[in-house]
Amino acid sequence: MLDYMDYVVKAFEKQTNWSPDNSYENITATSRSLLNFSIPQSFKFQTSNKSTNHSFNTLELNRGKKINGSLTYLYTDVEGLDSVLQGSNEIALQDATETYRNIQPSFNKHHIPHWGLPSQNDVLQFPPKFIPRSLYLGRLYYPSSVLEAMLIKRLSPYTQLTVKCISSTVRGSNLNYWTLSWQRYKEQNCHEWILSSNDGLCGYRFLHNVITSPSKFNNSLYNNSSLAVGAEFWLSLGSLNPGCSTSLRYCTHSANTGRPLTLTFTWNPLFGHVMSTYSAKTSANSTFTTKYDFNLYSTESNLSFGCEFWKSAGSIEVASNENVINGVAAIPHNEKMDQELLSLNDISTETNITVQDESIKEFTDHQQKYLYDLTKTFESSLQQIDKERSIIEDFENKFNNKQFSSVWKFSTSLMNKNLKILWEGKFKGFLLSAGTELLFKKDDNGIQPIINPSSKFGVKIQYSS
Amino acid sequence: MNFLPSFILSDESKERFTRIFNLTHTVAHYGWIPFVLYLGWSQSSNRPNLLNLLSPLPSV
Repeated sequence: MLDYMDYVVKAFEKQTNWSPDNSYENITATSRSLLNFSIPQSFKFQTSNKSTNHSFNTLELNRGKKINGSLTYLYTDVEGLDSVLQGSNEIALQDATETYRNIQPSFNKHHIPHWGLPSQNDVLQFPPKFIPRSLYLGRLYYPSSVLEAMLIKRLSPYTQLTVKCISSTVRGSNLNYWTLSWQRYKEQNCHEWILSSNDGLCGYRFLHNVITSPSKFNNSLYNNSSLAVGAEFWLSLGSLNPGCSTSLRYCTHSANTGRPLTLTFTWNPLFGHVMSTYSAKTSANSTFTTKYDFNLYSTESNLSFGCEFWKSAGSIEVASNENVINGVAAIPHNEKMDQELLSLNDISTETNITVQDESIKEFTDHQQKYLYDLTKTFESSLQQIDKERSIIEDFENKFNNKQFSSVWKFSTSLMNKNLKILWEGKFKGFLLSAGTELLFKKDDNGIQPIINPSSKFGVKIQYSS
Repeated sequence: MNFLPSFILSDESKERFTRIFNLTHTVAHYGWIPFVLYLGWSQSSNRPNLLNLLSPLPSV
């Protein structure tokens, strides 16, 4: 389950029109959320509150071997968060947890930027004037008094700066690090420069969205697929250790059923590690993923499976577009047309109007016939495009608008011989998550499942107002 | 008296820098959360009281 502050940070990114899916860091986010989901380690209770429209706070208590916890305060100057953020009673479960990321192609997004709703003092302009919004977060852990600080600042319409720090005042403690990340997304390219005080780590990440226009494939008239390629390069200035990897992500939909699927391929040339994943949303209630790891040098391999099953609450509730943060917003059919389709439709509409117009009388028979043929020619294609688009959008809306009560997540790996189980759900206004990890060990009596001693069994309860 | 090259700091200067760095670190460590709270307080029109701002418990 997402922490409340992560939920606020997501809402901040949505309101400032910043898509985290364009970052190389999140290129394998779907398979990561389905395979490497975090399991509560102990009993954890979180209560969150919105003290003003711009301030949020969270108290967390952990009951492990001893009681510890944290106190978090967040401030952001972005407007309109109250319309997006919801308490644990109203929030849709698919927004409160990490799940399949339905990635929209870059050409299919709205081109009019919205930098958050303007405040009372801002002068309304069109196109909207860029306002450098920011987010400040401070988290104090106790009893250790370790401070975690974060600052996110939108410097320009295309750039974002993120500074994260960990600080400890305990004498002799080396837990003092900072990380600086500068991201720039423009013209389908996302560049990210990272600098960290931990061993002088420098990094550069790059992601390029290859498909930039809704070109027509042979097998599908309506193209909603996206292809992204990226790479990352790291160098530790302290030990001069290099690191790099390169990845590819392809997201598309089944033309007949509208179900989304994602394929990724990652290659680390230094370690010879190859990883490929395939994730598919098989129905509105289930998602499956598989990952295959292979090392070219040691020829070691690993196969992992993950799945999640959503239990619907029974009734179907139509969520408003503004409230969807995690998934893709249920954008109405007409608003989601991309530029080319709009222009195609415009041609058809204009043609129809022209045919019915009185001025048609002025045209010659030849011109009338030409216009009629043009309309007829485009009609079947447009109908086919509309059909495919509506199948894909219906499937997306079916998931986004559904009210779920709980989700089961399972993940297993052949090499580690483990089974991770996680249940997340809503109960009387609380968000609950419970899970454990089973290890299958071989002894004299055969293979016996035991609970992983490092993770045990944990329960997490969250409440937010 | 020993003359040191200009780029080598004397022990006193090193100690002074360390003290200033430690002081800045302590101020930033304990001042960050009050600073976040002050931003939230100053930017809201109704100016909530300190208890409302600090309390993570849902307000009745």
